[in-house]
Amino acid sequence: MKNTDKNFALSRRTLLKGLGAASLLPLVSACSTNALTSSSAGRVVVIGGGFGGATTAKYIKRFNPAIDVTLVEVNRTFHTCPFSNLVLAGERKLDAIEHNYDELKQVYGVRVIHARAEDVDPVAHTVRLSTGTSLQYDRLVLSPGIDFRWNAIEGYDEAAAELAPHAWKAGPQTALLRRQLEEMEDGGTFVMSVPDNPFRCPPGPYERASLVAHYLSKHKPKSKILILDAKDNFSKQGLFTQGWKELYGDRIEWVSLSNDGKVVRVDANKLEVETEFGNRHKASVLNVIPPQKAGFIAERAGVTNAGGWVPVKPQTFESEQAQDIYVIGDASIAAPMPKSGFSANAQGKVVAAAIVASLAGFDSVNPTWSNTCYSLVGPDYGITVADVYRVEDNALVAAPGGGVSPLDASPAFRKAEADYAHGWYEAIARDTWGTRY
Amino acid sequence: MSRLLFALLLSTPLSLLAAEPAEFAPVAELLAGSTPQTAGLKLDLPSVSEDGSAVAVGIQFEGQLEPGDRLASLHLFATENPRPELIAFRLLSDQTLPDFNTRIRLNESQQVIAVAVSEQGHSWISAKDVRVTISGCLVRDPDAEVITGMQNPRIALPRRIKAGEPVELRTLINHPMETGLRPDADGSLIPQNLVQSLQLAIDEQPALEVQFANGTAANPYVRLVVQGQGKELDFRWQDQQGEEVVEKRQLPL
Repeated sequence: MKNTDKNFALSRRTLLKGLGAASLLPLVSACSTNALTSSSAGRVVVIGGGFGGATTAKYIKRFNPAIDVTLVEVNRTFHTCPFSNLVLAGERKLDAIEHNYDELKQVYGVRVIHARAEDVDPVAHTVRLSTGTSLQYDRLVLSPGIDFRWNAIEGYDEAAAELAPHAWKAGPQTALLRRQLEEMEDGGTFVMSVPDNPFRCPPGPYERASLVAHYLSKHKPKSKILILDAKDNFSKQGLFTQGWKELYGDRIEWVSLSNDGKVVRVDANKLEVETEFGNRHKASVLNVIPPQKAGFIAERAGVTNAGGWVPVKPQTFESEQAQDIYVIGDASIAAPMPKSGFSANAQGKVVAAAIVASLAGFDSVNPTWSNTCYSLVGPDYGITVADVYRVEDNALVAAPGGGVSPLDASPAFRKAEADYAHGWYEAIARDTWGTRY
Repeated sequence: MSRLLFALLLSTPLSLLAAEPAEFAPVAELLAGSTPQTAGLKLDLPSVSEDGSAVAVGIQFEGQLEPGDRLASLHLFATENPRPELIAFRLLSDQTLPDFNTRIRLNESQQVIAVAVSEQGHSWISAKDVRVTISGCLVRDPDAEVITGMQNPRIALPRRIKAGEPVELRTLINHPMETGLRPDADGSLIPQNLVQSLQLAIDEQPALEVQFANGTAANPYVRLVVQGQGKELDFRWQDQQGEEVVEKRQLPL
């Protein structure tokens, strides 16, 4: 350690310990940020204003307000994928999952630029924006989320997504799929195509099927749901299937990979899909969740691997392939941590600490992260998987003690977990964007 | 330690630290003293797999054979599985191309080794490290239907076939592929129960034998490519009890 000031070292340790829990709780005020303030504190550019990017920008400023932080996000507001399935079910309005950047700007002094980041020069340490501006950075954080592999499923491209929505980036696509569900005739079939791992939000497709089933059972009771899956196992599978039987009888049919569930071709005009072994399925509403990869700017920065995702050093989430570039959230390879908003938020705090430490000339300390994936099988029926993660032998691993909700729990237990899900959403939205409900 | 040096150490691939793939015992036995070439055999695997129970893998021979020689077989091994054999493909005629995809089981992070052997004893090798992160999210459906025998053989032919061009075929049969190493709910081991092989004959001539093993994923899946010259395809799956499932298809040539 280069710094020998004992008080400084102590306060830094307190600070990073607080982070270690990477929880949603605000850091205790004893974690003084003043100690880290210095005159040439450094410039950080953060690309992406979702769970990962907004959290990183905010926490760098909290830890050291003297650091110059610029957040680049193309959209003026952000719609979360978490809780977007409630919007599809008509249980929540789209604007109730919308967040803005006012708190980041006004309270934390983050410079927010609404432009598209088009290129990164990792040698010159610059980012080129769609406005023509070029930003210089000392540390760059990429939290670009996912992009879709258009045409990885034959016939499924951007134009097809206007007819058969993915709704796997929330916003206009969510509204489109909701409208289609409202317009669907009673007795129709909602067909969903689910990709192989890895993809954003592992339990998300099954929560979606659940909440769409809830909507259909109330408004279009003769309708069915068909899930065509490119996997043989899925997140919280036993809990979902038990909940489906309890709440929706046989309304939801799930077809696994080895029962010919993998969709290989889409005809968006006919709302028809074809699977690997030649079965064709006709949909009334077709939801194709396509195979995915790290957001475009990660590719431009040269930090992706052959699989299209970003290998990172688990300790700091710095890219394995480029110095001074940190990549978090869905774009990074953090498995067994899932690609979730909670993970991105937790990773954002660790990266903020790592960057603040490295700009001040310190090593970073051993972090731990936590993640909980809440899923709603019905509006009053919640299930969870929770884990704590740490670094062992230079790899991210799940610590013992995590787990999932029990099978065969009482309705009161499921209702309580649904309430926790709402509490979680409000807490993380406030922590990330300062949204108050 | 300087930042750069540290970064270099961190990014050292596992394969540089591990033993030579050719020295792994089952591989050495197969090589029988020949020195394998390290270029020419393509192994396509993800660097991280979130579910070790079915990892998609591709193996493709792109090397140069000497005049008069022909490729005899392709093999896959896993260095840290309880039994290293994953699958083997025996090319029984020139109708079958050395280009396959399948799904394998990896019980932990480890190295996967691919070997190709020619009739005249030349060999090729390729290896790749895979990190397996068994997701804690996976809770199996306790009520899922359990099958014990071979069911639902599936064969997919391309929609369009151009005369004389290679034809891609996909095959799958439902089967649990019990390894003999897995305990049931009471803790006693479920006996080994595997589909042993898939044989393909084209116009009654043997063209391919796929040998499955403990390391082949449940519901054995094989994508293969044949020369579009033959017409009658005869697929035969055989399990360890000697049961056989036969499926015939015609290429619309």
